[in-house]
This record gives sequence, structure tokens and C-alpha cells, in this order.
Amino acid sequence: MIPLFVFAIYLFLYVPIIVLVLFSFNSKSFPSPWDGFTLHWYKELFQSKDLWASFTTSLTVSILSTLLSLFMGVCFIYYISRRQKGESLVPLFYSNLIVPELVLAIGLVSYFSLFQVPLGFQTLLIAHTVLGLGFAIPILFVRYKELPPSLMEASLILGAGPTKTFFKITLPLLKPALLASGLLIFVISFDDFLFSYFCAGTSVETLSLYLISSIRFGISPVVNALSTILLFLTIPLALLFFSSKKGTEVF
Amino acid sequence: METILLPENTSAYNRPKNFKRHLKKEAPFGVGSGALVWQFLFFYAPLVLMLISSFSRFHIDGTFESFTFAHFKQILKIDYFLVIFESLKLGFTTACSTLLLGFPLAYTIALKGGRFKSFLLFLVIIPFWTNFLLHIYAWFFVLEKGGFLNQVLLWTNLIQEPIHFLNTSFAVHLMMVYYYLPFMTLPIYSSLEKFDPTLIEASMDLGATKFQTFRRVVLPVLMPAIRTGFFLVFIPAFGEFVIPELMGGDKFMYVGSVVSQFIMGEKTAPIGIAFTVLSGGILLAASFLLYKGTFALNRWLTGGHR
Amino acid sequence: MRSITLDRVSMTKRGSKILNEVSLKLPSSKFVALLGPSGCGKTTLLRAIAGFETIDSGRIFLGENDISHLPVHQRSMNYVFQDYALFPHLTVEQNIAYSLKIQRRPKMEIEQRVKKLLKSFDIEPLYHRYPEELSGGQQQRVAIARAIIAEPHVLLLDEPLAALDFKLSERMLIELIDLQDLLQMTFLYVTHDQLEALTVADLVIVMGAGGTIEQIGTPKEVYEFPKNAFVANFVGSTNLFEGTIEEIFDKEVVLKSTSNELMNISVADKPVWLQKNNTAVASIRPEKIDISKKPLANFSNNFKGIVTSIVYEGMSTKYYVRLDTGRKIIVFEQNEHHFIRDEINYDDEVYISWQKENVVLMER
Repeated sequence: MIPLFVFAIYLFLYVPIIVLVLFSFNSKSFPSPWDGFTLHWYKELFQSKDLWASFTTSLTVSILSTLLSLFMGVCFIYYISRRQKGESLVPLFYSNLIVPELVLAIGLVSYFSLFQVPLGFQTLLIAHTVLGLGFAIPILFVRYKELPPSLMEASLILGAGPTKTFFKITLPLLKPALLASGLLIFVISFDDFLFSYFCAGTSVETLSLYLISSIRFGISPVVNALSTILLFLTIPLALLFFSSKKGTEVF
Repeated sequence: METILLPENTSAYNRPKNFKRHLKKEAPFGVGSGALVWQFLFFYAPLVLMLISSFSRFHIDGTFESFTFAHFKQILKIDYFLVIFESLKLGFTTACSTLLLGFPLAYTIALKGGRFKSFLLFLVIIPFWTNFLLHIYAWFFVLEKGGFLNQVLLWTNLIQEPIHFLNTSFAVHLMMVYYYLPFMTLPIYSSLEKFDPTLIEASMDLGATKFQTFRRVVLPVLMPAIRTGFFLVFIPAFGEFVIPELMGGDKFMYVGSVVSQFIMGEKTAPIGIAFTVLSGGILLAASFLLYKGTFALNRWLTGGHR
Repeated sequence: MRSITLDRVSMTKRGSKILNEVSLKLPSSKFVALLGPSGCGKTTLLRAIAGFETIDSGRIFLGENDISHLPVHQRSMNYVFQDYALFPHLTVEQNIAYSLKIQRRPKMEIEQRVKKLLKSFDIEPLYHRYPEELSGGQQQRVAIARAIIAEPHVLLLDEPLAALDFKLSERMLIELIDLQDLLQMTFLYVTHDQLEALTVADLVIVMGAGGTIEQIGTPKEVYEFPKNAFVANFVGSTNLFEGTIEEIFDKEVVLKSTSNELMNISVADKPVWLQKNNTAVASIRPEKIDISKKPLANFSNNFKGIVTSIVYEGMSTKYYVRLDTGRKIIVFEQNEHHFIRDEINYDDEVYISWQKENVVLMER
């Protein structure tokens, strides 16, 4: 009985997506039923300048914030590896998950306006990096603590100083966690909507903002096409995440 | 590699080189402080300032004038509390629904998945990894007046007129559950994976039935994971306003929509902040109560322990 | 440059004293065993010497140099960990070459030295494997190879054989002895297994609970002439008789035990605590006791008792005997003959005897 129930859940999860993908190839615009196979919505999509602009913006912000978060995260782990007392500071980064994104977004908007910082690409980047740190540090830290201390001790006694040990031993062993958290941060940043809505100002449009205005205008197969492409782009990322480290361990 | 170290109280130790050495010693802190500075500057400072500013009045030019409750007075009206309550309700119902759906899902995958376990889990994760706006659009597509579901129903003659699925609370809840399901499922799955089957065997050995074992052994052990999943859903769902707005139209007002309306206006911005602070506070209190509640639930399940 | 000296080293952790004013001077190029029960602080002492733990007071010397405050990577010694601590992301070859790479030795030289070591350890085919693919014994060899390739003056080993099965650890033990002999490195070997310690060591340091040194000596000294009841009981098994000194003669002492046995004990010197009416402890090892159904002649200590338990161990037999005085002792006999005349059985009345030269008198 339960397996049937579970099957229904999967159906629930995937029917809309499958329908969406199928109809991106429909030659006639909705609401006409299936007419014929066509790729012309995709052609229209690729010609849309607005779309590419917002896509590039999102991509840039996400990649930069991911790299920034990971870099600061690694530096922080290095600090912890040198000073045990640093560990007590780690809980400071857990609050990113406790505070609702909305509150943080509002906080940042008013913060920026208080210091009269114009909203734009930089403020968006800052916001996404804060978000990213909240994931990077807990994940990296947990993995770091799981490493047997005897490995670092072995490296030290074999003559490698603490910094060399960090680069030759600790960091390589943290690679799976770096990959996992990097992918996670990238995806969360790329899909993010709230921060774009509040912290990006009027000049910057991310993909999410573009999508929302598209949705507001109503159903158009161009958006179907876009959705299909994004879907297929995300799958390899998810695969990567999944294979590198049991993704569920993140939780 | 022999080096001879001088005893600590010789003058050689106190040469000016000490500063360079001291600098070298503190270098790791310099390196690692980047993250700390960032966190304080862009996470804690904004939140604290937000808290303070909700109680302050500012001049036109932005300088501080006085402490005031004026902003709060504006929102201490029953209407606003209703909005907060609606958001709490939304968060709570979403969390419960995802629990009801996610638990059997996690259970089936973990215990009955076999070879397909990874694949099944992967299928659950994919929606999480794709832009949620796409999913909203997908459901739009399906549920709209002229959408897929209605087309099918009309075509099969089950209904005569298209049903308005959208702009209903049904649509809102559907979408909320759709989006938040992975958040609930994954922690539970993770915990189930690590679950020690010998506990169940021991319980059955001692004479408990399947149901009793479930209630007294399995559930309490899974409680931390359930708790994690619950709050992973409850807290973000509280602040959710995009999904309700898109799927439910303007019929329902939630904290997020009210806040964004206030913030957008210049004069009303401080009120928006005050409202955010108030909602945040109430959320915190509610979460605390719920958190304690899960322990009470645990005690009830196990009959008086923990 | 290969000797380790400790000067009143103390360490307190979480309120309890783990190392208590430990002072020792280890000779260079010898195989030294640090023996003690679990929790006595021996591993902590080893780690303190390596620098993994910081001591609260006292000093540590390597040769003439005070290394007490030297960071780990500047101490010219190496360490073999109980869990081997092989770097999982590096191959066997990279693991072993690690210390040489840190020293920036030329590539050719590193390759040569690694190959040579792999050959002498008989693990050549494992060159490109990763630690997780190796068996316990193989991992251990790699760990040791990695530690000695840079030819440190001192090698510290933390119960390296604990994870191996009996036969394998027996073999490794002999290989370690040969290795130390060949390299002439100072080995400091921590173990809780007294048999291991007695087998490998040139010098045994017995550590007691609470981080104190109980006795230092050659295996024979520590076994045959324990300084106190703890050492006597920990290294091998023994029968202990507490009592008061009744008579003191020129080369002999008579002890009256708490169960009223009168024992004759030979003494070579008269330490200060050896006074009439003082309390002392006598130790007589089970293998030095003779047991027979007929009275034995020419023994300086003779008692009678009943056999309460017999444990057959193949090579030997252990007899649990309750003496007429009520005291219970253990006697150890080697099974020298297939067919024993006058075999001893349960409940038999037996004569127990031992020589006064085989008893050790210790301070209480």
C-alpha cells in the first residue's frame, strides 16, 4: 500500500516537469493541444537578448559568490587548524540557516541604504556570499573534524610545517567537501530569488527575475523551452554532487 | 636538523625580532579573519542595525533622532497579527504535510530501495536543484484555466467547464509541499540510512509488536532528523510569499508580501523593518515552542523518558 | 645525538596528573620498551616527546639539545602510529617518499631510496597502490618504512602491533628487532603487552598508573628482580606475600606473612627499609615453585596444600593451590614428559617448595 503512495508522490513530483518539457516542442502555442514537433521556440529563445543578459548575470554572480565563499571558508579552516580556539567561532556561521532569507534580505537592503550604498551587482554578490558562507563553513568544518588527527600529526613529525601540512594533507582531503559545498552554493545562488528581488536594485536582472516577469505575462512556450534547457543543465550538476560525496551527509 | 633553543630568560629572546615572530605567529588569524569580518559586516551588523532601527526615528538626512515605538504602534493592529498568523499557519501546515508525505517516501527509499536507492534519492533531489520558479511555471502550466490538467479533464469529459485550480489555497499548498518536500525527506532518509537495525530486532525480541516498536524505538531515534526536517521547512516557509502570490493571487497576504510592500515605499520602509522584526520575533518564539513540543512528543511516544 | 633525556616532565589534563615528574635518560641506539597498563600515560609520554602534546613543566632533551619548546616538525625523530596514519590520498610510494620530498631531496635520490626500502621490506609490488587496498600487515610495513626513510635519530612507536593478529605480530616483532639492530636507531616502543616488551627490548621502562616510572632495567632485571609489587604483578604473574620482617641475618631474612607463613629469603644487600618489624612484600614466581605429591628435600621453603584448580595449557600446567595456612597460590609446571609418574589431580594433597634465592623481597 505504501509503495503505491510513494509512486504517487513521484508522479506528483515529475508530471508537471515532463509536461513542461514535452510542450516546449509543441509547434502551436498553448492552449492548443499537441500539434507537431518544432524547435522554433528554442530558436526564439536563443535570440532573446534580455534572456542572455540575465543568464550571464546570474551565472557570474553565482560563480563569483561560490568562489568567494569557498575561498574564505578554506582560509577560515586554515585558521582553525592552526589555533584550536578558533573552533568556538564556528557556531557563529550556523545562524545563516536559522534566520529566514527574507529577514536577512530586508536587513541587507536597509543596511545598504543606511550607508547609502547603491544597490546593484556588488550588493547582490555580497548577499549571495553571505548565504554561501553559511553553507561552506559548516560543511567544511564537519568534514575537517572527521579527518583523523593522526594524519596531520604524521605529516608534522615527518618534517612538514603546519602550513605545508595544510596544503599537502588537509586541503586535498577536504576536496570532496569543497566540491559538494561549492555545487550546493552555486545552485542555491543561481536559483535564488529573494536576494535578487531586494538587493539587486533596478539595474541588475538575474535569471530568476527574468523568469518571474515571464511567468507574470502568462504562459509562453519560450519559457517552456528555457525551463527545459535549465533542467537539463542542472542534472549533471546534481549528478556531480551526488557522486562526489553522499549528498545526504550534507544534512 | 638539530637546532639549539635558548632558555627562555636570556636576553636573546627579547630582541626586536620578537615582533616579526609575533606577526608570523598571528598570521593564521589574519588569513582566517576574512570570513569572520564578512560575517559580522554583512550578517550580524545588518540584523542588529535592523533591530535597532526598528525602534528609532531618523531625520530626513539619515541621522539618528530618537528612540521610538511609533513604528511598532503602526503595526500593532489586529490585521497585521492575522497576517503573521497566516504565515505561521502556512509554515506549520507545509511542514506537517511534507512530513506526512516525506516520511513514507524516505522510509520506502531507505528500506525498500535496494539497488535503486541512489537513483530514487536522486529523483527526489533534482527538483531541489532546479530553479523553483520553473516548477511554479510548470504547475501553472498544468493548473491554469486553459492548462494541461483542465484540457485532459475536458477532453475525457469528466468535467464540462474548466476548474479554477489556480488562485486557490489548494494551489498554494500544493506548490509549497512540492517545493519543500526534499528538505524534509533528505534528513529523514539520512537518519534512516544510519539506523541500527539491531535496535528493531532487540525490541521485537523483547516482545513488542511492529507498531509498538515503531512508536517506541524507531520514531524517537528518528526524532532529531524529523526535527531538523521540520525546521528546515517551517522557518523558510514562514517567510515564503512568492509562491502564495503566484499561485494564490492577491487573495492571501503573508508576512513576506506585506514586508515587500512596505519596504518599497520610502516613508513606509521603517514600518516594514519593524514588521520584519516583529514577525522574526514571533517566529522565534513559535519555533522555540515547537522545538520544546517535539521533546514533549518524544516523551509521549516513549512513555515518559527523554 | 640519539639519546632522549627527560627531566621532571609533568602534565596535567582535566584535573588529573597524567605525567608525574618523569625523569629518565634513555641510552642511544637501543631498543627501549615503555610498558604499562592502559591509561598509565605511556602513550601521552611518547606523544609529549614527539611534540604532539605540550608538557606543563620539565624539559625534554634530544642528545644535548633542549627540544621542550620545539615545534613538532623541527624535532628530528619519527613516529609510527597505532592506526598507521597513512595518507589515504597518496600512493604507497608517495607516502614513503613524503619526508624526503619535504626535505627537497633530488628526485632521483628519492626514487632510489624508496625502491630500496620497498625491496627490503618485501612490499615492492605495492608501489602504486593506495593504503585502503592494503592488508593490516602491509599497511604497517609502509608506516614503518615511511618513518625510517629519512633516517631519524629516534623512532617512536605507539603499540604498532596492536591491530595485527597473533601470528603476524609475532613475526613483525622479530622483524622490528632485526631492523633496529641494523639501523642502530633509538627505538622507543610503547606497549601494554609485557610479553612484547620482554621480547624486543634492550631496556624496559615500567610505568604505573598516575604517570610515574616504577622501574627501569633490562627485561631480565625487571622480570627477575621487580622493585615493587606493581612491577612484579604487571610483568608476568606472581605470588605476593605481605608480611613483617621477623629476623635479619647476614645474607638472609625471615618474613612472617599475613597468613602466618614463615619464609626464608636471600638478600644481597640491605636497603634502608630492611629493618626488623618493618612491613615488606615477598614475590615468588609460579614457575619457581615446585609441586609434588611427595615431600621434596633440599628446599629452603616448604609448605603443604590442596590443589583446588588445574588449568592445562598444552606446554605447561597451572596449579591453583590452597596452602594449609589458607593462602592461595599459583604454581606453574612445564609438561616435560608425556607420561607423568604420580600425576597431580584435583583435591590432591601436595607439597609446595621453593628456594630462598628465588624469592624477591620488596618494599611495601
